[in-house]
Formats: sequence, C-alpha cells, structure tokens
Amino acid sequence: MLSTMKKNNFSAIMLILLFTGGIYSQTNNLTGSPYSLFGLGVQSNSNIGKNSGLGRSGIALNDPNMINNYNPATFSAISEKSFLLDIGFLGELNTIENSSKDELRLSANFSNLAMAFSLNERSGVGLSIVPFTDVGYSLIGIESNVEGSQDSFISNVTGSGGLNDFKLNYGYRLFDNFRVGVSASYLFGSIRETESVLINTSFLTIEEENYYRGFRFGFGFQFDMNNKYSIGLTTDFPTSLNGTQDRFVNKSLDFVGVIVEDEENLNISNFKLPLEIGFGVSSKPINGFTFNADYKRNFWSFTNQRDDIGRFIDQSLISLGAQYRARERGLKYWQNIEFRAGLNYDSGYLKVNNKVIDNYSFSAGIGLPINRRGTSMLNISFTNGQRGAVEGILIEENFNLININLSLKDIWFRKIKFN
Amino acid sequence: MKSFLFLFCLFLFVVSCSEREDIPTLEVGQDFTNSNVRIISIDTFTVELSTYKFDSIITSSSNRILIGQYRDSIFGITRSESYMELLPTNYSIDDDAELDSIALILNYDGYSYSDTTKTSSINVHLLKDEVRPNEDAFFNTSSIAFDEIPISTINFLPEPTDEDSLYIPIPIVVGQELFDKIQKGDVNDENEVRNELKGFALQPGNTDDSSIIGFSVDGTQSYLRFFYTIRGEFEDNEQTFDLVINSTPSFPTYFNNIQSNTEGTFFNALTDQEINLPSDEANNRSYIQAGVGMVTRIQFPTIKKISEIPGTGTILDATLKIKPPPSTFTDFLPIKDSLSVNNSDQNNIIGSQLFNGAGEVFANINENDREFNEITYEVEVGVHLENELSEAPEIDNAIILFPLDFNNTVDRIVLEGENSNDFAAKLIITYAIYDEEE
Repeated sequence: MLSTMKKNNFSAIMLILLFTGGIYSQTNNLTGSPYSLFGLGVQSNSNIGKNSGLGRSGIALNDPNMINNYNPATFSAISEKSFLLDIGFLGELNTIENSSKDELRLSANFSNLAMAFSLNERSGVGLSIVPFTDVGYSLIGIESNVEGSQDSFISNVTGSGGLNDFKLNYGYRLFDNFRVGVSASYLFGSIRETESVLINTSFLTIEEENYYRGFRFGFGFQFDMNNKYSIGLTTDFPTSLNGTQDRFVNKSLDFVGVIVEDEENLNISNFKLPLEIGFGVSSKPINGFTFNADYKRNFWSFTNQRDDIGRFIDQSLISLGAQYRARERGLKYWQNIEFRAGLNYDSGYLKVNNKVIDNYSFSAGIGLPINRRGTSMLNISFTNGQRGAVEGILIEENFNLININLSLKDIWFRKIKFN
Repeated sequence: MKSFLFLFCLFLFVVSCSEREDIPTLEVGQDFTNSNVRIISIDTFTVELSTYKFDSIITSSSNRILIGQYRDSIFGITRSESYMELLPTNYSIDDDAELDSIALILNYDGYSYSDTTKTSSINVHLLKDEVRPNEDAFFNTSSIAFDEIPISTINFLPEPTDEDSLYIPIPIVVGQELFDKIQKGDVNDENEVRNELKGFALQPGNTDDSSIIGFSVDGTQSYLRFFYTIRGEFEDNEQTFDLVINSTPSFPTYFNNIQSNTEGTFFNALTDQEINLPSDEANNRSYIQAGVGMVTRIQFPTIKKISEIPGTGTILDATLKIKPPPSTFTDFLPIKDSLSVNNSDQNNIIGSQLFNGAGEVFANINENDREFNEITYEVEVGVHLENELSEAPEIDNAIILFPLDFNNTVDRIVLEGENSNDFAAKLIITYAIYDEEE
C-alpha cells in the first residue's frame, strides 16, 4: 500500500515535469509550411491518440480507451477508475513546389501531452496540452526594389513558434445514451518573426515576437441513437486573443552596430478566433469496424480580419475515418491491433489573390497494443496531403506526416492485491 | 504503473533527442510575400556647402620647410616663407681649422605644388629676433623680423624629385665670427650661439610665380654647413661643421608662414573664421586650401525632417557625393584621393575627426567612377547624421573637408556646390521603414 502511494506521488511529479517539458518543446517548429506565414500559422497537425489515423474525425466517436479531444462529451465515457495518458510525437516532411522549383523541408518534434481520468461512473475530466497552430517558415532571398533607385535589396524572413492549447475537458453522462461536455482552453504562445535585410554593406534585422493569449470555451454532446449509430455536436465560441509584441531592431550603419529599437509589450491587434460548429456521426455497422464522418464549419468571415496578403473566409472541414479491430478484447496479440484509415478535406480559411488555400489529406494508421488487454497502444499514423496549388504566386505543398502517440491506460487508485 | 514510468523516461529521452535544428534555408515560397521592410532612396535633403578660413593654423610642427610663391586664377597669390633657428650639435672645432666656405643645404622632401618648370628664387635673410613663439607654437600667420637685405639670393629650377638637395652659398662673413668663437671655446651653448646667429628667414622672390617646394627639416639632410680645412704636415684634412634644426627642442624653432593675397577673389571677404562663404555666392562652388587654412563646410539643415517620413524607420546608409570640377586640377595642381572629414561647430571651431565602424571617415574618390573619368568624392556620413538626429536642439553643426596634410602643404581643391549645373553636391540616404504605422 505504502509503495503504491509512493509510486503515485512519483508519477505525479513526473507528469508535472513532462508538462513543463512539453510547454518548452512546443516552441520548436512543428511545421515547415510557408503558408504558416499567415495568421497565427497553420492549424497544427498534432493530434492526440487515434484521431490522426482517422482523418481527424471523432466528434461522435466514443471510445473508453482513448482521449478524444474532439468532443468534451466523450470524457464521460472513460471507464470508471481509469487513467489515460497520451504522449505524441509529430514528424513532418514537406515538399514545396512553385512553378519552377521544388524543395524538401523536414520538421519534427514532441507534439502533445494529454491525460484524462474518470471522476466517477458518470463523469470524467481531461487535461491536455496540444499545439494549436504551428509557424515555421523561412523565406530566403526575397528581392525587393529600393524605392527611388535602380537598386534592390535582399531580405530573409523566418518565422517560428505557434500557439498552444492548454485544455480542460469535462464530460458528464446525463443519460445512458446522452453525454454532454464542456471545455475551457487557455490558448497561449508566441510567434517570432525575424526579417534580415541586406543592402550593400548595411544590414537591418527586425525581430518581432508576438505573444497571444486568451481563453476559449466550448461545449459538445454525443447521443447514441442505437447500438450502431451515434451522433455528436460541438461548438467552440469565438474569442479574441490578446496580443502584445516585443520588438528588437538592430542595424549596422557604416560598420557600426546600432540598436534601433528595443521595445517590449507593444500593442498589436488582437487575433480573433471564429465560432466553430461541428457535427459528427459514428457507426459500427459490422463487427470490428467503426466509421466516423464529421463536418465542421469555422465562421472566420465574421471576425473581419485581414492579413497582409490574404483575407479570412469561412472554412469547412470534412473528415472521414474508419477503423478495424478484430476483437474488443482479443486473446491473441493481432486481434487487438487496430487498423485505421482516414480522409480529410479542409477548404481553408485564407484567400490569397482570390484563391483559396485548401488542403486535403489521406491517412493510414495502426494501433499496436502494448499491454495484454489491448487498452494501451502505440498509435502510428501516416498522412499524406496537399496544400495550396501551383498557380500564380501560390505554391503547392505536399506534406507527409507521421504521428506517433503513446496512449496508455491504467486503472487509477487500484489496490495491488497479493495472493 | 512501473511500465508507465519506464515509458515516461524513454519518451523524455526521445523528446530530448528530437529537437529541431535550424529552419532550412529555402527559396520556394518567397513570392508569397514582399519584404515587410520598405527601403527608399532619398536625395532631396538639402546640402549646404560653404567655405571658411581658419584665423590661423599651427605650422611649427609641420615637419617641412615650405618655400615658394605661385599665382592661381581662383585662389590668388599663395606664398610660403620659412623661418628657422639653426644650432650646432657639438662645440668642438680643431684649433688648426681654417674656414673655407659656408652654404645652406636644403634637401628636397619630394613635395612641390604648381609649376616647377619655372624659375624660383629664395632670399636668405638673417633674423633680428630669436625664434621664440609667443604661445606654444607658431602659426601660418606668424613672422619674425629679419634684416631687409638678404645675405644670399638664389635663382633655381626646382628638381624636387630628380635632385637630392638645393645648395645656397652663404657669404663667409656671416659665419666667420661664430666659427672662430666656437673654435676658441668662447661659444659653448645654444644661448651663446643665438647671440651670434639668431636664425634665418627664407623668402621666395616677391614677384615669383612658379612653385612651392618642400624641404626636409632633418638635421642630416638640411643644414648650414661650414667647410673648413685642417692643414697638416703631409696633407690637408677637409672637414665640415653643421648647424641644424634642433630635433628635440623645448619650444618650436622653425615654422612656415603660409598666406595668400586674395585680392580680386571670392576670399577677400573671409576676414574672420566665423564668416562662411556660401557656395551660391562663390560661383556655386566651395573651396579648400591647405596651409592658408581654408576648408569646405558642409551642413545638412533639413535632416531632422527625416522623422516626418510616415512610419517607423531608420537610416541604413548616407553618402554625400561631391564633384571637383575637372578644369580645376592639373598635373601641377593635382587632385587628392582622400580628404579628412572633421566635425565643426556653429562658430567654425574644428571638432573631432569623423569615425565609423571601419575607422576614420575620409572623403574618397570613388574608384569605380574614376574608370569612367567621372571623379567624385564620396563621404559616408551615416554615423554623423545619426549623431545629429539624436541631438535634441537644432544646432548648426557641420562637417568640414580638408586635405590630409593641411598644415604643411598648399594643396587646394575646388568642389561643385549644391546648386551646380554640372553636378550638384547631394546627400543620398537609404532609409528603411520597418513599421508602416507610426
């Protein structure tokens, strides 16, 4: 008994350590997409548990062995006295192409950490930290004209960072077939953009770090229509992220280094996040198969925001996912392996030169059990997708993702009994 | 639970290995965006050139004897006279020595200005007073009374590069007494020498229009030489005894008086250092003349308006371009590749030299332009402007341009002013706006 207590204390400390490490690690790049130049970056491809293998679907999905951040109502489904933990890793290989060139960009990092546990037989909570948006671009050798002269200058722009979503989910089972949930997110992070300008023997470097923070609330419910069909609905309320900027500008003038500006907490416009409404269906028509279909609409146009080049438009997301597992609790190892496939279409929220930057992706995943009951898994998924199009100034980006999630389940507060 | 912890640790390990290195440096995607920085080139800030003349400049540490006179259609008559005290380095002459002759030997140091193909003359006068400065130094305006009648006059064609030295015979009577007294031991120190021989004034001919020549002040090269003979039983022994410019004096013992007769030129008005001669009152040009102390003053009166450019920005480069009119320099009156650049305040008091990160700032002739026969001076004034902008009140600070050897040459330069029809002096500023909002 004593030793169990100690172990619990120890694991609590480990968790805190991991969370701290997680927050730190999130500041590293999780994307190499030049499209992350716009807005707050590209929507993160990090996912908890199984969602990435399922084409990012899961609004109606209800699995007691996984953390499903797509709908807070699912947290009520966590089996009693269970404890779930999920650690994610994301690798991204981007092939970027414009009309004349193509290039490879690789980025990889630790991506998320989540845990959830049941409070009682009717309710459960989850706490997660997941990248919300990722920024990672590097535009080298942008040539611009010096106004009022024949000369030109070269600038290099790099961006990194992104926002994190520290999210608390609470799910409650109102009826046996009806679950509700609420979520509260603290979105925070910083996006650093550095532009270096080189002209003759002089340079100018502008380092801007934009900090955003704000809360966002949402709710969701899931309803099991019968044994085979469930539906779900989620709503995330619009919010405004408070922005401040630290700016450091330095230059060389006639070979003398000069700090032009070193300011902190400059006011920048807040970034508004739209109302997001999602609807999903999940079904288990045949033994072993699970199918999910989600539709989500993000009402960006109501935020009335503009970026330097593009403007924000309403975004539609369609996600389809399928999973096969031979047995719910197979005795043989292979029977507990989960096979997943998914399809995702994202209409995009940015219009550049009257062209919408949409993206679509296919994913395939596998869940390898790492305990005998097949409740803890190593989830691996591959996603291949495409963003943008080779047209005009736009570029086409092929992205290959590998998501690795270690999804663990154990029984919480279980007394170890000795014979 | 144990397996949990193990996996935690394993993952921590993995995490720590998976940090990304640098963002790859790639090109695709750059069409996407323009630079967030706008860079503009502006040449509309006012540049004001004027000329002023220092009341005096120090010439007693100039390391050169400068003698000559020439006439110039722009600058008038420029004249340099030289004053010096000559002393022996020892006081022993053989009792049997007999003085044969005396000569003033001046070694060319290679500097000449204006036409060396014309005959020059030098009149050697004896000084009436000792060479003693009123203050710590002599100036280009200093002079010492001398006997009106020269002890020697020489007319010569200067050979500043082909010959070693100029030989000026001095009448033996000038030095006989001093020689005898040293020989007898009656003259044993500098003061006793000064009682006998106070020094010399070397004057160019009053009507000369030839060249101004530089001679060395080194005691081994320029000296008053006594040639004497010691008669021996079998053969005569010829020896010399020299008087030289003291190389380590406690006060200066030589200087050049360099002045010009500016009658009929623009410079007649420059009677005081605080008077500026604006280029638009001087044929749209500004002027520089070393030795006599004339410099070009450049001011940027409207530079503070740079803050009125919308947005937040900063200067990345500021280059001043000024052209010397080609008709104003020749092989005899050569152009200088570099000019010194100093600060100057509103009262025309000279300040420190301009510096930037590469060292001293000079006005340099752009070598690329020279290939196209277009000779212009360029001055990097970025750091200067930055300092000006950071000064709160508007002060009439300026920069001044003058030749590197300002105190011991008579180099002169003419520059096109801001309203020149040929090539107006201009300031080209490269300005970066990094935030369009104020």
